[in-house]
Amino acid sequence: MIRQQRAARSADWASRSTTPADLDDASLWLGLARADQACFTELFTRHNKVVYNFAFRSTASWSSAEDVTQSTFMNLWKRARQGNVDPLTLPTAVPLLLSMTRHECLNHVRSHQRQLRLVGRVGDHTDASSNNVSEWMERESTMTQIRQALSVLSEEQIAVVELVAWAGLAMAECAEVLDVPEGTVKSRLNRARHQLRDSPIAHLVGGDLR
Amino acid sequence: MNEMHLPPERELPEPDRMLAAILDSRPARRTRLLAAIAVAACFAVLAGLGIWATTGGTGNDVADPPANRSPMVTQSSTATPTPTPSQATAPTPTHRAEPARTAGASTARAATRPPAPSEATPRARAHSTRTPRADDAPRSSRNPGTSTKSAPRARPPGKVSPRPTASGPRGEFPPTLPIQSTSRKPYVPSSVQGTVIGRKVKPREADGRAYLYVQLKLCGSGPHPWASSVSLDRTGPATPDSESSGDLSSMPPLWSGSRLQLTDDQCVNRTTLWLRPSVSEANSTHLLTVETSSGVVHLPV
Repeated sequence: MIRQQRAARSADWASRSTTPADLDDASLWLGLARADQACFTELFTRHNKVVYNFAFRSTASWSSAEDVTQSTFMNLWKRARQGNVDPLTLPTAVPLLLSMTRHECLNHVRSHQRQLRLVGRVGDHTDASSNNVSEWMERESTMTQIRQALSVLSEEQIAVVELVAWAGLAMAECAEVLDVPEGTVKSRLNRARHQLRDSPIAHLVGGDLR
Repeated sequence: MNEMHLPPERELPEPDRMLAAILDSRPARRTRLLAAIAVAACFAVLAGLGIWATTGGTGNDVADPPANRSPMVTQSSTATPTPTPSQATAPTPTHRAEPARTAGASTARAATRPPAPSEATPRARAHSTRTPRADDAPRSSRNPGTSTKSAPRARPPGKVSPRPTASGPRGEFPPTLPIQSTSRKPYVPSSVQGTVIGRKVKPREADGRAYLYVQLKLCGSGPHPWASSVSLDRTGPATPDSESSGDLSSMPPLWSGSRLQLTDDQCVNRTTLWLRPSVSEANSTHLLTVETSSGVVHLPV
């Protein structure tokens, strides 16, 4: 059944009767597997905001989020050119993109910690020439506090909170991204709620269970 | 307890620019590939130039060191066995002679060529300047206190370069090299050099008597220098085992009457002599005289 759907999508895209903006993620992903630049552009346009904000909530830094976003899509395009794109098993590409973003965030945090150690010796540096610096800094400060409050959870629970409560993924999608059973996702989220019930961010993990 | 809220989402700043940067990553990859190819090409060119220079190029006289020239020139320069310092530093036209390359030389090279070998052949020059071989031994014997070890030498023994004409200043050692492929019989001057490597008085296992154990290093310039006799001071022939029961098999060929087999650098690197003076003589310094087919060498031992 799935094969028939993919074949139909591929034939649909091959006929070029529609523009990439009219296609769903699965069809765009098929085009991306052929290193179609238009499909990649449409995927980027469609999901860059989700990736960007997810990266910000993971790194608590706007600039880092930009870097992570670029790295995520850069790797995706690189793999597309190499013909090494993972097949899309869900109707939407967001879970897979967020999974890639999550890995990029972890890599970025590791490298950024080394950079922070170096910068810390030199001194704090703030780009005062940027626009809305105070607002940006305030948001980053807030996000940093949220991350600190979230640090009482395990890495697996944090991932579930980020994907389900913040990025809005369904339980099944989160299970697909984390490669765990759906029941595991639910249990992790429940434990996270229980641990954060007295925390100022308790309401941030109380998303609707879908 | 103040509740914290997630910061509101915001748009990615300049998404088009980021997208263009991502899509332009392919040309950047091409640029890196082209740069790698360019670097590899530069290395190939440099390697080619190195090989070209090593092999002497296309016959350019400037790039052709004297070491690459034919051994005929070496033979002609051997006419002076022991050149004086002035001769050693003065340029001689024989080093510029290059009979094997004359045919292919340019006109400029031909204009600077020295006189042809027919004007003064190496053999003629050799006979005109060399000391007769028969005089070598008496001359050495007239000066028994001067061994070739202490005499000024052009080079230390054992350090013979494969192409001696290029190993030092012109006119320096060696005057000869054995010519392998020539119908003309080469001139071979007579000379021999010796060095005492080791000297020790110790008993021999054969008879348990004290012997003067001497290790020599002989370097002869002839094709087959071999020792004819060895004497220690004026006490007569110091042939080993003259008083013992024999054991000549353990002696080196120097004593067994056979010719010394030279190594590639025309040296006998380690010739062991068991001399048989008395113990009192062995503990004193003696003068060892080795007569060889290439000359006589006196060595204080």
